[in-house]
Amino acid sequence: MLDGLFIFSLGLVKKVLIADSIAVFANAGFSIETSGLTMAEAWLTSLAYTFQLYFDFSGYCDMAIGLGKFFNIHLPQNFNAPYRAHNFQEFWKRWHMTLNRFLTQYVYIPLGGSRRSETRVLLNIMFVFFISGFWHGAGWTFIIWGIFHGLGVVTARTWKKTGWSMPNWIAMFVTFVCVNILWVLFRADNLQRAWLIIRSMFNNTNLTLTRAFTSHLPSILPNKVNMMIFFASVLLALIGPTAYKLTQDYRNTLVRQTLTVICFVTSIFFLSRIVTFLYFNF
Amino acid sequence: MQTNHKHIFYVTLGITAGLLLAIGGFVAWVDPYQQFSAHSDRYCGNQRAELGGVAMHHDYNAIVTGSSMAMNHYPEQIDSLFGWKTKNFSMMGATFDDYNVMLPHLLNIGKAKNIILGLDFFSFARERCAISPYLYDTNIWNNYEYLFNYTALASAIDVASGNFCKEKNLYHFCSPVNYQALKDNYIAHKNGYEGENFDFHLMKNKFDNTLNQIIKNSPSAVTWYIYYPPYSIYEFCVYKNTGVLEDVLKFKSYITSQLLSCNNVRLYDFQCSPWINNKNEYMDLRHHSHKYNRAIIQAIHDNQYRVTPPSSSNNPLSGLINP
Repeated sequence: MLDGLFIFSLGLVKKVLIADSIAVFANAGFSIETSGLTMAEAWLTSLAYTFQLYFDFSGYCDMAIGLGKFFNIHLPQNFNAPYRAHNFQEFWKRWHMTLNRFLTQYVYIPLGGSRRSETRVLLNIMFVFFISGFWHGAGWTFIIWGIFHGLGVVTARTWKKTGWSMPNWIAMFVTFVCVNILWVLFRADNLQRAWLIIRSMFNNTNLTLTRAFTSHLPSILPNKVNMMIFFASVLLALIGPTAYKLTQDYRNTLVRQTLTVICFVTSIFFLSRIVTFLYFNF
Repeated sequence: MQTNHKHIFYVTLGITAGLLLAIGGFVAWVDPYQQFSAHSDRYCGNQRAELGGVAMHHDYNAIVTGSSMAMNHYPEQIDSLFGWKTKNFSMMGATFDDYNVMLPHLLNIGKAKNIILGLDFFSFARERCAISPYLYDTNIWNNYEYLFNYTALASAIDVASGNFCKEKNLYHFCSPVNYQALKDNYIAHKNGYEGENFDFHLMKNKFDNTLNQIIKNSPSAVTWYIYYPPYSIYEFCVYKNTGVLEDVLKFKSYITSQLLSCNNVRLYDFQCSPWINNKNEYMDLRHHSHKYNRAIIQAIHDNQYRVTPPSSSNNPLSGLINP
């Protein structure tokens, strides 16, 4: 029960403090309509969304796991540091693990799983990810997102068979960048909008934040603080311990109880917000 | 569960609840947004957060409101000319949504019998709203949103440590007033303003669903003094450059006809004044000098630039299309 309280408080902080603070950068980039983004804005937008989504979703899952523990129900782990994956196959073993297991068991295996010819296996994988895209949302952006993830998994599988190797850090970096770019498809309202952002990530070298972008940053905290939370979240996601791991190794200490209290109090004060109005035409 | 763990579980929850109550109690004690009592000489400066409380607990019978242009009105000038007791309820960048939360609250409280409102077109061209409705009601059951709130806590700490402002210089919008400032701002915005959509139907809908209804349903004892602020002539050049001048003028004609149909509304149009051509009296395209704020109040008092039904049928800005 104490470990439930602990993981619940960590989940609450992940959602309320981290995800919602980072969200301002993602929302700003995705809400600018009249003009394109600079390279810096496009990357900030996509990276912010990448980490917002992780902390938001995994935060909710941690809270659910914590609540379950109060009633002696042990819910399975759903996230295991997914941005540390070295390829798309590994990414899907770490991201939304319960969905991955469901699709494997009820779609991939009935289609023949890995027991068929290699071509058929690759087609099965593509079909599973097409379904996964459709499951996430009924729109072309989701379907194309799913197809690209399918291609990523197919590529990883084919690459493995060639026996070629790549330094771990390069593999992790390439996987992360690809996942990050694909999240733009997941968040954008339509393909045109997604393409505008993805194109801005590569087709200019403007590293400034324009007034058009900063004017869309009304926030509960000053933007510098949000940026610090953003950097902290990047470190946490890439090298920090996961909430699930911390709970598995749970030992009741004064430090952990204090952390639980701090997480609860901080989160509750961030639940209600008064957005600071920024006068954006100057 | 082991008894020891059960004990620690409840102690943890107890300490959490105790801390929350202590911090919430501190916010209630300092009351940075004046939700529980009036603090005449202690404003935190967050307009949208504290004006709801000011409306409830301060003493006044008239208000002046609008966007940043109206922030520079001096209540003491209004009081000396009209004999009222005025409070300034202007909000920087006020939108239709801000009015929709604040004005019904003010009318429900019923203290304001005279309302001077600077009516900006851009208030209906924007979407953003940063106002918190729970600070604009008398419902005690949603006060937890105020008491357990990071922004309110930060303001409470600021106020408690002496970092607050007095009413005298509260909310004034100050920036250099000269031709260069106006010119620079024109260059920055000659192709339009980010986040503003001057489509006539969009603005009309927002006006009809908010301010129009509020004014029409307001008690007859309340008199509205509504004016069109004297933007610089270059503001209209921007409208023309971006192809929205027709929409803006159509919208102005529409709201003019609506407002003139109300018996408790007096309408003034300072966009017809020669002031708008004086390039040395502006901070930017929209913000005029404090001198014009005084002139506006004086003109309202002297009944100058008043729009009356016959003149409203003529397009008051027709001469400005080709400045």
